[in-house]
Order: sequence, then structure tokens, then C-alpha cells
Amino acid sequence: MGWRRFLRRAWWDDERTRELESYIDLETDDNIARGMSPDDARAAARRKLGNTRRIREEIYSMNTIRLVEWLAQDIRYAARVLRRSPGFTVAAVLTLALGIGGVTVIYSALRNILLDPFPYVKSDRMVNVFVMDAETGSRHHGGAMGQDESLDLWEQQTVFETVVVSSTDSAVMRAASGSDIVAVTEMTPNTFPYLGVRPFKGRVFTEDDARPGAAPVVVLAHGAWVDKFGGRDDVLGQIVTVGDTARTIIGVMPPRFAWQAPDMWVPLTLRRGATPPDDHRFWYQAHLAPGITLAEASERMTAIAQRRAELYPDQYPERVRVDVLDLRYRVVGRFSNVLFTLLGAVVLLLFIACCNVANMLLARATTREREMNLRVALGGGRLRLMLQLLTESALLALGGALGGCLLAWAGINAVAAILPRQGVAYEVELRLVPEALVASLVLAVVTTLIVGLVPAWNASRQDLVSGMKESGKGAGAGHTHGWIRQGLVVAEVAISLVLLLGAGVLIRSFATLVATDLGVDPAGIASVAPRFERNDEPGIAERHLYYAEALARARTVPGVTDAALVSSWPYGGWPMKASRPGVEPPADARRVIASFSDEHYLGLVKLRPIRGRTFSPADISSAAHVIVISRTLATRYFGQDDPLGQYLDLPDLAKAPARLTDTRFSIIGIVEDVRNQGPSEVPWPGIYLPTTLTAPGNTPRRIVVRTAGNAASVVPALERAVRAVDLDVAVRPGITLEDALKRSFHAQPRFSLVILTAFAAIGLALVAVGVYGVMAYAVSRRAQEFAIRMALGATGEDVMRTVVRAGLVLLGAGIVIGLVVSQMTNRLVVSYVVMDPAGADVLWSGLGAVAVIALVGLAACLIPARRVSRMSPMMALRQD
Amino acid sequence: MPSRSSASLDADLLQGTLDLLVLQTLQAGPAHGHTIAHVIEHRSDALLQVQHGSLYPALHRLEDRGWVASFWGTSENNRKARYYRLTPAGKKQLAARTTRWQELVAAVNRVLKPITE
Repeated sequence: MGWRRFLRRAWWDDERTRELESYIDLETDDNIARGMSPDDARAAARRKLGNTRRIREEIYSMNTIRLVEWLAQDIRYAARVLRRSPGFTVAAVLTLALGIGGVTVIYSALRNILLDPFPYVKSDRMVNVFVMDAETGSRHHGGAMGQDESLDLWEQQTVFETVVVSSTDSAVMRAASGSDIVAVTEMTPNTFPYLGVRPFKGRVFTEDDARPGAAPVVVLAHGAWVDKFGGRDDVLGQIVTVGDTARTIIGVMPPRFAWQAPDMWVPLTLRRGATPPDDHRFWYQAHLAPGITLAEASERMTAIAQRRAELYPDQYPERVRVDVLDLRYRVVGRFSNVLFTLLGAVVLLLFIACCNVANMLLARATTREREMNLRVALGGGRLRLMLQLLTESALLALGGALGGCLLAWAGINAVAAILPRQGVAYEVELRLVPEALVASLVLAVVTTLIVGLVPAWNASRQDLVSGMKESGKGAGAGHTHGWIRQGLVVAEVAISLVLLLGAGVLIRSFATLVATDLGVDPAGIASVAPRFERNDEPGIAERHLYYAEALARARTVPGVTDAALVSSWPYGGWPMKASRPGVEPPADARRVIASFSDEHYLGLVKLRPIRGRTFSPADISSAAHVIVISRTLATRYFGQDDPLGQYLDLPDLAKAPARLTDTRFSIIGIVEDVRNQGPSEVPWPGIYLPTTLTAPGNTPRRIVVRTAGNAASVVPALERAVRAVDLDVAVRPGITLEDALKRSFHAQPRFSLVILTAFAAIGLALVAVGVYGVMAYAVSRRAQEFAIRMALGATGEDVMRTVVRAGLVLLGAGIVIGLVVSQMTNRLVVSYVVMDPAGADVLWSGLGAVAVIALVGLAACLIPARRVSRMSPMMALRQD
Repeated sequence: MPSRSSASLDADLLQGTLDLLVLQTLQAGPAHGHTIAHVIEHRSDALLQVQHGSLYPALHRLEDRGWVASFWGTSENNRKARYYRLTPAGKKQLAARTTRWQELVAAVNRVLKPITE
């Protein structure tokens, strides 16, 4: 058909040529037979046939498909044009690629992490249910419930479609392959249908497996199956001992299934009275019933909890509230702000990229006006010209799109590498979102195509004669879309200033964060935390013996200079109520952060004593009712009074696990504050209590050591030493305080910092390219003018000054606009990402950003300015 | 499709006619372009002069539509020449076109007949 004919058109042409020649031969023979001389005969034959080229052309055009023929020509021509100006081509393609790749990566991250993190059904209706202390607004027991409490709230609720309850704890697992610490989630068997994920292998457990007397079973997480069972197929049916129960492995879940993020799941049957009411470890989650809002659900659940609080007043704070929260909120929380900020930044970046490409194409368009005019004059149709320019832009766009896809692929891997895992759900899997790629591709490609058409439009619209006369160069004032280009440069400068300012503030506040004085010196401190099985818990005395032995062994580890026992890292602790007996506590300080420690701890972390003394060995061994308080506590609670020898009442210690009859403590000393709410938060009042006051089984202790040299190098030996105390007690992997700080507090700021800085750098590079492009172009347009000026006596400096002045006007306008916009947006951006940027930080980073952008812009102007000032006038005048 | 939608009725008529004549000529047996032109001129008593400028494009078009097929052969005086022969589709086409042509001629003649009343 048509295509075959089209593809064989050259062959046909050849064929017809031969046919026509054979005709001439035949006709010549005839003519000779008629008596002509051979030469005359051939000439007559040729005359008779007429113009063979015209015949061939007619046949050729019959064979061809005009659009395709044009397209092939255009692609060849466009490739040639683009190859001739490699600088332009590379810049345009790279710019497009950066924009496309950046937007795709960030949008994909946002989508995967924030909007659609779970592989579960109806995940948009999944909620967490937390009992709250309405007075302080904090979660009661961190949001976990007692077993009876969760049952009551389950049976009485009317707002949820499905309720699931789970409890996660670590346990020692003994299998044929050895023993190991694993995280185990007990969960009600309706959780599997609730989540709607099919097992990867085998089956999940059902209500039958949860009945009393049913054979104990366990379902493995994919990660645990690979890590701990080597991903073997024969695990199904194998018996493992988890805690003290031998369980049959009945299934393996697929990789993204990570409900509560354990290594394995076992069935849970809720039974009234099965655990003490103060054993708060049950998490209550649900599907919101259709038509019920979060607010309605919270209200109805609050009513239920308040009724229950009236029945069991000792289990609840004075004022109770229930919060029903979107599950995605708990998992992502603050991190969403970072991601939205980054999305904003990257959209700005894509905008800069589009501006830049538009700008470069417009600049080129002007230099090609003459070419276009010439082609129109020679009979090129408007359609034909547009098609050709469209092809050129399309080639650019194609290159940009390919580069963008590559960048997006590389970028998503890079983001996955630096993504702080504790900021996101375990189920999150970073992968490219095709819609995002398509959307940014379309945006970039459409921009390129539309802008690319401008010269054709102009050419076909313009008066040919005046167009030809304008002679392309030299007539500096004649450009029609100069203001668009300049406007785009101003916009670019403004946008990248906004980005730079954001990055600058982040850099400063990250530096401040890292440099924050915790109150203790983190260098050289490492820690391990033993973990007891709940079921074979020894008594309180044995537990303290264990810790004493562990401390003794830790001290023998080479490199360790001291060891101590404490309930939490310096940046954490237990919140509890505190008051001076007989004195109403100050309204802003009803809660304090408590740490349980031994006599060595305060000295080991070098917490500076202010007054009084710290614990003596006798205080610890006798579990004396003495406390050490922080400076903030002293000033808040006691003001001008001397706290030493005074008492503090800690009513929470009357409840489990301490169950003290007397909750009054005598203050023996005051120490410096530590940042017990995290490095960037104002510390709460802090207290230190003797470690022996409570059963440590429910309030785990860590063994903290100070080392002489590098703390990280001591960790493995420390782990081994503490493990050797009792092989049945699991020991979690050790960590240095510096690493723990990094992981908990620095990872997320660093993530935003790295990405925003990268964006700002890319933005800056694009600005440089943009400013350079416009200035170089403007200078080349005016080269003849400058040459004449120089011939008339202007110096190279004068010319440079003229050029730089023009550039500075653009830069200045961009900077002013950028600063104004930053005033509006940066408040937003900065308060999203960092908490409270100090005024000086903003000022300095602002000045820095302005300086950087001015320098880059100036350099971009200077290059063409120098070039033109060094040009010999004659050369410039002789140019076409 | 390289059809000329702008062509006038005249051009269509003539072009169709040349096609018809070529097909008719080939019914006698395969022939090359030179012969085809000769035969048409002879049989029309030299009334119809075949423009070679249109004969070869016409042959190409007919071949493209599958009504004639071509092959290289040797001419009467031992020259290589491209021969055309009628394909079955071409035969059908010839019959149909001949009928249409005759109807057309008859119709035109009826109109041209002197008015008897």
C-alpha cells in the first residue's frame, strides 16, 4: 500500500528512469529505421518524450506522503541546527531535564509518603484512637490502653465499622537457626481482613486460631522471613519458640505489609481481667463508619471514656478526652510540612526551568527572524515553517524528557537513600509516580513547543520587506519580544532568590541545631539497653542484681572509663505531675520530666551541679526518697526560695509501677538543665530519682558508659559483655549518644536541608544560564553599535559599563521582587521546616543569598561584556 | 493519497480516459510503454496523441492500484523494455470502465441529438 510505496520510492524512481531510457532506445531504433542519422534519431526521441525529470518528479510525488517527507527533512535539518549550537542545546536539554526530574521525584516522594503510604484497603478511613489528658493535651500513657479499657471502648462504640486491637513487644525467638530478639505483634484476628492484604505464602490466622486451646501459630513479616529464615520455602509448618510458646509458622506476608512494623504476628484474644488495668500496651485502631467525621467520632468516644473514667477514677487523669485521628497523621505528622515545602520549592524550580528554556528559545528566535523571513520570501508556507520549528522544539523537548526520566530515576534512589525512616510509615515504598512524570513532561514539552513556535508566527505575520531590511543584527531597538525575555530573567532571579533564602535559613538553623548544647556532652557516650521477657520477669531485687552485674561487666570493657544506669537518654524521660506540698504549682509548670538513675549517672554525663549534692550509694541502695532537681524546676517552683531540704510531691508514683505509699521527696541537689524535650525545644523542669524506686521491668533502664576514645568502637564489646550477664535476657543493639541524636533529631532537618540546598544550587545555575543567555544575546545584537561607538572613541570600559548596567537593572529588579516575595513566603516556608528561626539568622542568610545571586548574575553579564569590549571594531562592523 | 481533489472535471475525464485506453490496449497482451503509445495512436487513426509526460505517470498509477503488473522483458528489436500486462483486477476494471464510458457516450449523444420536435 501507501507505506510500502513510500518506503520504496527511491527504488521506483530508479526503475522508472531505466524504463524511460529504454523508451528512448526503442524510439531511437524506430527513428533510425525511418532513415534518420543515429544522433538525430536519439535527439528526436528525447524531444518526443519531453522532460524526463518532470515525469520522474510526478511519479515520485505520487509515491511520497507529503507530511512524512517534510518531517524527515525537518528532523534532519533540526538536528543539524541543534548540533551547530551545542551550548544552547545542552543548556536547554539540561534545564528541561532538571525541571522534569526534580518535580517528578519530589511529587513522587510526597505521594508515596504522605498521600498514599499504605498498601491497605480503605486506608483513608483508618483511624487511631487515643485517650488524652484533656488538661495537658498529651496522650494518656502515650495513647496505649489497658486490655479491659480497649474491650469496653470496643463494645460500647457506635462510630466504627471495624475495630482492631494490637500490642507489640520484643521477645526472644528460638528457632532451629538459633535465638534472636524479635518484635512480635499480638493482634486480634480480624486485623487481616481489616487490612485486606493477602498473604505472600501460606495463610493468615483467623478467629479459630485465636480461640482458647487452639494450636499456637505465627505469621512472619517478609523482612523477617528473608533475614532470619533465609527466605526458604520450607518455613511453613516449621516450629519456632517465641517468648515461651512454641508456634507453628503458617504464613509469610508480602514486603509492604508492616502493620505495627514487627517481625511477626500472633493472634490476640481480648479477655477481661487478663492483664492488670495499668498494663497499658494495647493500641486501638479502627475504620471510621461511613458518614461519620473524625470530630463526631472523637466526641462520641469521649463520652464513652468519660463514663468509664467515672467508674475507674484511679486509671484516668482528672479530665479525659478521646482523640480519633487519621492514621496518616500519626505516621507522618510534622514531616508532611517538609514535603509540602519541598514541593513548593520544586515547582518554583520547574517554573525557572520553563522560563529559561522559553528565554533561550526566544533569544534564538530573534536571531533567526531573518532566516524565517528569507524562507517566507522564497515561498515557504506558514504551516511548513511552523512544522519545521515545531520539530526543532520537539527534538529539544524529547532530549529534555529523556534526561528528565533519567534524573527522576536517579533522584528517587538518592532521596530513598537519605530519607529519614522515622519520619515516614514503615509501609512506605519510594517509587516514581507515573502521573507526576507525565504531568511534568507535558508541562515542559508544551512550554517548549509553544515558545518554539513564536519565530514562525512572527515570520508569517511580518511584513517581509521590512523584515529583510532589518538585517537581523545591528538594529538594536528592533526586537519585538525583548521585554518578555527580560521579564523572564527578572522572574528567574526573584524565584531563585526565594529558594536561596529558604536554603540559607535552613543551613543556619541546622548548624544551630547541631551545635545546640544538650546540657551534657554527648561525645564519648554509648549505651545498651537490656530487655526482659515479661513472662519470666524476676522480682525487683533480682532485677537490680542483674543491673549491678551488668554495670560491673560494662566497666571491664576496654576503653570504658565509667558506667551508669539511667531510665532514658538525656533528651527524654517520663512526664509526671509534681507539686510542692501545700502550694499550688505554677500554671505553666504542672509537669516535670523524670529520670531514674544511679549514683554514677549525673557525674558520668558531666551534668554540672549547681547546689547541694547528688545521689550517694546509700541513697540508691536504700531507695531513699530523695531527688535532684533541674535549674528550671528550681526557678519555676521555688522562685526565690531555697529548694534544698524542701519537699516535692510526685502523686503519679502512687500508681503502678512504683506504687509508693509516700510520694513526697526531699530535694538534695540542683543541677543544670538538659534539653529533655529534644535539642531544639525549651527544656521542661527535670527531676532525677533513685533507680531503685521502681521495678525497672516496666521502666527499662539503659546502661550508659563513658569511653576514653571513639565511643562507636566500644559498642560491640559492650553488647557482648552485657549479654554475657544472662543469656536469657535479650540485649538491644547498642548505640552512641551522638548517633542516637543524629537519628532522632538531625535526620529530618538534614533531609530538607540537603534537598532544598540542591534545589537552590540548581536554581542558581539556571539563573546564571538565563542571565548569560539574555546578556550574550543582547550584546551580540548590539555588536555593530558598540563597534561604531568604539571607533568613535569609546573605550572598552565604557562598553562594558553599558552592558553591565543593563544586566544590573534586570538583576536588581529580580532581587527586589524576590525579597518582597520571600517576605511573604519565607515566613511560611521557614516556620514549616524549622521552628523558630532567629532574626539574625534570617538577616544574614538573606544578605548571603542576595550577594550570591548578585555575584552569579554579574559574572554572567561580564563574560559577554568583556568579549564585546575586546572585539576589534572592524571585525564587528564586517559581520553580516 | 496523492489524489488531486482540486482537479477539474475535464482533467478527471481525460485522465480516466487515458487509463481506459491503456487497459484496453493491454487486453491484447503484454506491451511496453512505447508500444502502448503507438497502438493507441494507430487505432485512433492518429487522432489521439499520447503525451509521454502523462503516459508513464498513468502506468505507474495503474500499477500502483494493482490493475496492471510490470516486468522487464526484451523488445522485438532486442532491447530491454518494461512490459505491462493486465491483472485480473485490471480486467474487471476495464469491463466496468468500458461500460461506464459507453453509457457516458450514449448519454452525451442523446443530449447532442438534434431536437426532433
